[in-house]
Amino acid sequence: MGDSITNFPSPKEEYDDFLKKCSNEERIILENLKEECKKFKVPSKKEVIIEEIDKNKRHDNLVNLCAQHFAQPDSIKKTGYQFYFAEPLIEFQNDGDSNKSFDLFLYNQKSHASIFIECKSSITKGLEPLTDVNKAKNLVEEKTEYLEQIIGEPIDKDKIEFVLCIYDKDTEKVFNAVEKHNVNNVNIWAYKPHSKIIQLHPKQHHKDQGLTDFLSDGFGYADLKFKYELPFLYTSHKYRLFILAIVGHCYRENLFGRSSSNPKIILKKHIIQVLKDKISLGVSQAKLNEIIEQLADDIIKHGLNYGLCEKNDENTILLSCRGNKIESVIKNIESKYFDKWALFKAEKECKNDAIKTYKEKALVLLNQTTIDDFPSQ
Amino acid sequence: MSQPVNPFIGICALLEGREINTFKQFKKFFDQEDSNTVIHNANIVATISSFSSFDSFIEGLKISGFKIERIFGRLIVICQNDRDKKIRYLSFFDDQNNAPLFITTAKKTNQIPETLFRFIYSSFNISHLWIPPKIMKDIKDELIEKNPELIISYFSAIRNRNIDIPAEYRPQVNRSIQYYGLDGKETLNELEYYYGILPKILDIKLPSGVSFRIDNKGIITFKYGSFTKIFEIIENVIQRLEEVREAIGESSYSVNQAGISNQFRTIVQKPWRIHLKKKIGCDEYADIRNQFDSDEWNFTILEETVISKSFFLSARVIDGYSGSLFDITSNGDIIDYYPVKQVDIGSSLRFFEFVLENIDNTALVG
Repeated sequence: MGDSITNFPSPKEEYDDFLKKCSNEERIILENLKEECKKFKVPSKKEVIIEEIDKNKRHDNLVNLCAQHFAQPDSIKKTGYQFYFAEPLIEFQNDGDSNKSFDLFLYNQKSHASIFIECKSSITKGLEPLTDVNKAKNLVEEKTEYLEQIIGEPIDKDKIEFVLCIYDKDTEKVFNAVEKHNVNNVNIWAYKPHSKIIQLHPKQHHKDQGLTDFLSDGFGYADLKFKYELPFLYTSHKYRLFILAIVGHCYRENLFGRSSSNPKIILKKHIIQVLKDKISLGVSQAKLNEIIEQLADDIIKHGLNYGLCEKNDENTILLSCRGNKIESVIKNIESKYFDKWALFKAEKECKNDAIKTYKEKALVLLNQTTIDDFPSQ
Repeated sequence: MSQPVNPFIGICALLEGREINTFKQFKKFFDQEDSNTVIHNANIVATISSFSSFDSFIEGLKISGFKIERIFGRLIVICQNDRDKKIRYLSFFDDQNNAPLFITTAKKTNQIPETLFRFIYSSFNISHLWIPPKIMKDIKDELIEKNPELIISYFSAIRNRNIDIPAEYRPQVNRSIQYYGLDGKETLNELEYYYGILPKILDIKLPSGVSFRIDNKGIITFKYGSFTKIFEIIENVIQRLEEVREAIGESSYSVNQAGISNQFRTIVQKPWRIHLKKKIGCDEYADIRNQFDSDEWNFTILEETVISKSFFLSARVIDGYSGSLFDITSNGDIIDYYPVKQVDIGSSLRFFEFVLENIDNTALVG
């Protein structure tokens, strides 16, 4: 290694573009820098994706727990409120940045009152979830008539309430923000994981006294006698949807139904059917078909991006994993996803990092006219 | 004594022109006929089911590829091909206990699994008659009490450290023991006391000459003597599991409609519940989790959420034998089992057996 560095990246030049111009020796230096960086970044990114999925699971779990309050015939009778569907107005989510939808929609057929619930599994700043709720509130106010058409019943605008369901540990910081910023019409339901109950914040009340009493007493896990099946939501993480819908339903049904010669070949229409059966949404049939088909495409694309499946033909995908046993398939796909996700993200960041370090080192080495100090593999 | 090529020919000859409709008649038939001369070295597979009628039982058999060869009331001869060999069973559908019995000379290692077990795992209405370790011990103790001269020549027994059975030596250790020897009765007794084990498989020889092996899946390999004693044992186990079956039968998975014109589809799951006397926490769960997807139990967790410290578990599980899906939730004191799509009595009972063997041998349903 005696050649001097002759190439130097321009200020905005990207790794791949610069690499093309490099001499062999420069290329080795750059690639070594990238690989060095990846040694640390890959494990860190794995932590990130595991935490991201865990957070999504905690969120969906909270949504589930909230919905379960209104699955019990006793509580429906007591409060008059009934769970209608999840993710109201989700069909408008992509219309603009300002739109944000709630997680659950409850309706009272007698009083025409309604409750929109937003669940947050972790909160950094007390005001943040309130800003999101505010955006979603605006959407509800804007689309009330549309919602009336969807449910086929009147919505009393004076009896619309909004709820933020959060972990008990976050309650005080959010409540302080509610008071400080004079936020109206947002009640806080606190989930207390150790007591396993959800309760209304003691300083708040609902317009309906019966509901206030019901939620002040709290509703515990041991009281559950029924539950709604909400295994995943429209907005669940794409990887979870891949595992839960495609592996947990389509592949499992192929494998045990023994109807398919290769159970790993999954029909796209099978995926769509599972999503339609399991996802709770309040939209027209035509809209449902449209958004579920789009969701199926998105999940498949996610799977293709991370090597979890490959395109078999126009109507089918093929799972890319070893073994046939359901347990091996799940474990194989899980480890492949975490590895590839971490690698992709690390690769991207390490390219930027390598360029930056290369510049710093090159400046020094250009003065020394040698590149011997560069790390080698 | 040589085994006839097709022992079912002899049985059919004895049954010709008769109808066996009740369990009493069934037992009487085997009491009167010297069954051992007709069908020996038989395996009796005891099951428990939720078929609504004899006809639906027959329908289930046909769906699973069984051919009904002869019908003598509720006693039937069925067969299915395993490779080139016809595997036959004499099967009795017991209306009163809803517990179909299968008697066969087919091999337990491959022929029964390839035919009958395939039916049991693929049908949601039938399950092995799982014999929990505590009941197995009771069966053994009762038999010894009535027949002090009884011989146990082989046993297999386990100890799971989560189980609340006293042990003199190192109770925190998980154990699995297999023992061959004519002093099996005494040895098992000693090992129960010192090592806190419970039996899973027993080879028993009664003073009357009746000799059989019974395992925790309700499979009885009959070696010699009359079937009567064995039917008594089976009936005893069925009665003890009746409340479990009842609880499972009350669980449900139903599609409900919400909204003024029922336009919103919601799926409501009603669980059956297991009460644990011994509360589980995160430490115990780590242990249980390892057993869960072992080869023996073959339950795969598709997704789980565990809240530590005070412990809360919510999981979606696949039964690796039947392919059934179910949800479980637990706060440590109770475990709720929620069916998905349909109630599968086989998965449910197997899960309960898992709980009894690995979590709490005194767990109750209700």
